[in-house]
Amino acid sequence: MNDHLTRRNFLFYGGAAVAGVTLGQVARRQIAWADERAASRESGEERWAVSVCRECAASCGVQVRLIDGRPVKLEGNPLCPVSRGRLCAKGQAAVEAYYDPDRLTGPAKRIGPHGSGTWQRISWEEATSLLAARLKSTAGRPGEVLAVAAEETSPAADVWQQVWRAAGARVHSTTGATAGRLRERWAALTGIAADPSFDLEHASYVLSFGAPVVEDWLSPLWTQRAFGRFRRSSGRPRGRLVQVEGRKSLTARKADEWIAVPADRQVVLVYGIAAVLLRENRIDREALRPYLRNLNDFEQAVTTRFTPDEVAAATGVPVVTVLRLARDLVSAERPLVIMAADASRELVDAALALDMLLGAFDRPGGIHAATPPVFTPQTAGADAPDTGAAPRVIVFRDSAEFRSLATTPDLEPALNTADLVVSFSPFLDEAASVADLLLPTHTALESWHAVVPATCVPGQMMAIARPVTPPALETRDLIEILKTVSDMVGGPMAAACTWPSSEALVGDQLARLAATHRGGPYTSIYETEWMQQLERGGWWTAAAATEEGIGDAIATAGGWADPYFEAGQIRRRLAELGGCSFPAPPVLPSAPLSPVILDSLHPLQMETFVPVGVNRLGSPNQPVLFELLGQPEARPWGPWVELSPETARTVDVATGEHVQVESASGALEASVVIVEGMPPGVVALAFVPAVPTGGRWAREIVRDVRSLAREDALRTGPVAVRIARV
Amino acid sequence: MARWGLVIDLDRCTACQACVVACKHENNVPFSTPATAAAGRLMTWIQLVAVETPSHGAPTALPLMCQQCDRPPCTDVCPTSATYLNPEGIVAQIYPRCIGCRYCTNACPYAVKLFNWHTPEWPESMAPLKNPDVSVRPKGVVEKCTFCHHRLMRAREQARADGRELSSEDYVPACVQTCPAEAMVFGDLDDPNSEVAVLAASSRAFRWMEELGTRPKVVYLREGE
Repeated sequence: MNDHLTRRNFLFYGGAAVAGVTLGQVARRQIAWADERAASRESGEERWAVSVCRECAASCGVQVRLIDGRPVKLEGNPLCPVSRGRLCAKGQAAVEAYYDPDRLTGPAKRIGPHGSGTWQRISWEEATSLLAARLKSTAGRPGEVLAVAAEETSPAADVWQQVWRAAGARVHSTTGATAGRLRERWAALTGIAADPSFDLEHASYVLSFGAPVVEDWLSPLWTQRAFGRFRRSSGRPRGRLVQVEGRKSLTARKADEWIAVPADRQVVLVYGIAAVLLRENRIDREALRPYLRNLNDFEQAVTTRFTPDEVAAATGVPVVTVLRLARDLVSAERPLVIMAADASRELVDAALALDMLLGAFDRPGGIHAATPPVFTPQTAGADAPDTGAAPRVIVFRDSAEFRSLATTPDLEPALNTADLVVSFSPFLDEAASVADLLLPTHTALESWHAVVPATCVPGQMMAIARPVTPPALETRDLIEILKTVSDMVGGPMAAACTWPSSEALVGDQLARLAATHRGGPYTSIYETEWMQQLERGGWWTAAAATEEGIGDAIATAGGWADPYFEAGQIRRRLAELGGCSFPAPPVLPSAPLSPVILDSLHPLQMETFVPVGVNRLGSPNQPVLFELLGQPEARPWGPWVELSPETARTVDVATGEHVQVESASGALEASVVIVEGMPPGVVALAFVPAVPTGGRWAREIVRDVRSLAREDALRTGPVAVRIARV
Repeated sequence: MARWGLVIDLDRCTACQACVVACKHENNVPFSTPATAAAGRLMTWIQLVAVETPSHGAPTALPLMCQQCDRPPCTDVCPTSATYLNPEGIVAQIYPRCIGCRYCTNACPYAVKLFNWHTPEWPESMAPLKNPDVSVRPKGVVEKCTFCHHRLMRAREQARADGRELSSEDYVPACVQTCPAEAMVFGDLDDPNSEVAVLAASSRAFRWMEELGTRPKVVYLREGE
């Protein structure tokens, strides 16, 4: 990669890339051609097929309405334990990506300088040969290849990992905001190698430390339904939600009480509450004794370090509120403490400890240990050692994750020095725009699926579905591409990829599931069955007489589920271990609250947040999601900034008007939303990136929040800014 | 004959806007651009609006669509009877009759009747995305939420084909079907045993701008205890 490319100018050139390239037009013609083929029948025949939503790790089951074989609308799959017939905004918008008029029609190689937008359509033979030849020349030398993808638990992700590790690659996975992010701290506390599963639905009082409950927490659709039922269910009192969060987020607005505490101080409040419970002797010590070894040491440390006055001084929460929160928690019938998936390890430790003090483990409305999934990743081989050398070949599986990956420090320079960057994305998005070789895979509706959904219920699941429509363009199946390339390279790579296609891989997975003689196809009686499993073990539905028949039934229903889980697993495991130990609480932080240097030119502390629906690269090919931005107060289709009433008064603006936000490195116009209760001196900016390479709708977003600071700076900490009325 | 109504529990609603997307796809409502949105011409039959609701201090995001009034101000002013209250309580809109005078958009206190200032357009590749059950409205006519009336017609046809009476379970609008937090309940308000009728009679129930006497059949349940 000799052409100099910085992140900034690739964004600039990105705009030209789409405008100059013929792929968009060809794509439109080809889709129209596919449409004509389908329309030739013109019977208006309606058909429904199941698929899996791949917009996030929740992997909800979807039903696709097909008219003459063409997808018209996505609905939730009523049989799926996660979606149960419902579907979120992002999930529904996925059908727009299928019809993206700027989709890639087939493989292409870059022929001009980087970012110039000069691509040449090539054949699949040429494309795979190009990649294979380059891989051959690395000769499996460790670290010459970097493979990046979003983390997922699936047979396809296994194959991806195995193939690239066989090529001597380092395999980089990004973790989603799922319960998997809490796995390490959960295992450290309980010794259970499975995710924690939070029973929000049956809790009566939830104290949330930054958990975006109504936005996208762990498994978003599941959480939304659980929240609805937590709030209002017949026969029990309304659930009460208290949100502890620095910003007045959607969840904070929806909560019954919002307590403004920045993320780095929330841990102090948790221990402050624990200290009150211990000091006032409001916990059941006898019940805890078999499961907790260091209660006395913990009590000593917490009660001496976290006195109400000190907690109040460190967090800004009045003493009386700290005392009230503690007393409300213990007097609630089923209290539950939850945290954001990306909370610091100290906060996760503290919140889980508080849950245990409250007796929340293994009870309805508390925390269960999810059953370890029946599918365990077959991670053959290990990552090549990090030699510090820059990779020569970089391959992206999920270009949608490019943005979060780009914040890893070594990726951006590596993009500038690598010889070959390959994108497997079906879309001409940001990752594709920095690539030298485009190997577009099928979109979700054209693909086979077998994936373990993000943990949300204690039982086990695997979402499985066939393609609902044949490929509209000359895209290929990911496993097929990997197989072709591996065979060309030969050696360990060829040995690592034994599957000819995703179809074969999913077929094998179905056979394995059938052979377990556990669980069964997704079923509408799941909920009832799940409740019954609390009392009796094992469940097997005789969906068909043969294993083939069972596999067929699973793929037709959209997945496999086994609602069985071991009730009381956490306590049993802790008893076996002779109890757990709470980690030592941290020393009360004394640093000043403002981690950013403000001056007279830039007197405001700006935080950024990612609005719901923008987590997939600004959703470049789902126009409806741009319309949802900032509703109901801000203008859609662009960034907005949240101000306290005091700050708004200083520049004389009202909600809906515009301000110029200026940092030391740039400026941006954004619409204003005034938020009551927001701390003066703090502003919050919605992270709505401009994606000039993302298709016609994404190119409409011209105000890029990254003009204010580098993306990693925006994502990791506050930035000093000033605002002026436009 | 049923009198169709919708209850939205604001205590459950998470303002996720899944209903907005469901409606858009179901009813062939065209996409906007930043320019059309900035001009206040965003086409959407259901939209969140920030309102002050009873006994809740902070503004609440209220999903607002045609309130299907029993005394609709819009029908009274329509010179061509393009919009009228049908026997099942749905405020219907006959597009070929509409002359685009926009009297109804002005008369509607909820501002949920939308005028087509432009010919709706979709990219060529997106043509198949359109729902064949719903006609696309041309430039110059007014459109709005119909409680997914086409779904009612389909459900009625299906019931007839099955040789049975139409039941409430046969018919739900797209927004209700998708609502992740199960905040929307649809059904026959005249059936005292229906969930929708029971909820509409709850102490939390209120109708938006009910003081105007429009008698909406969209009923909201306020947040809080």
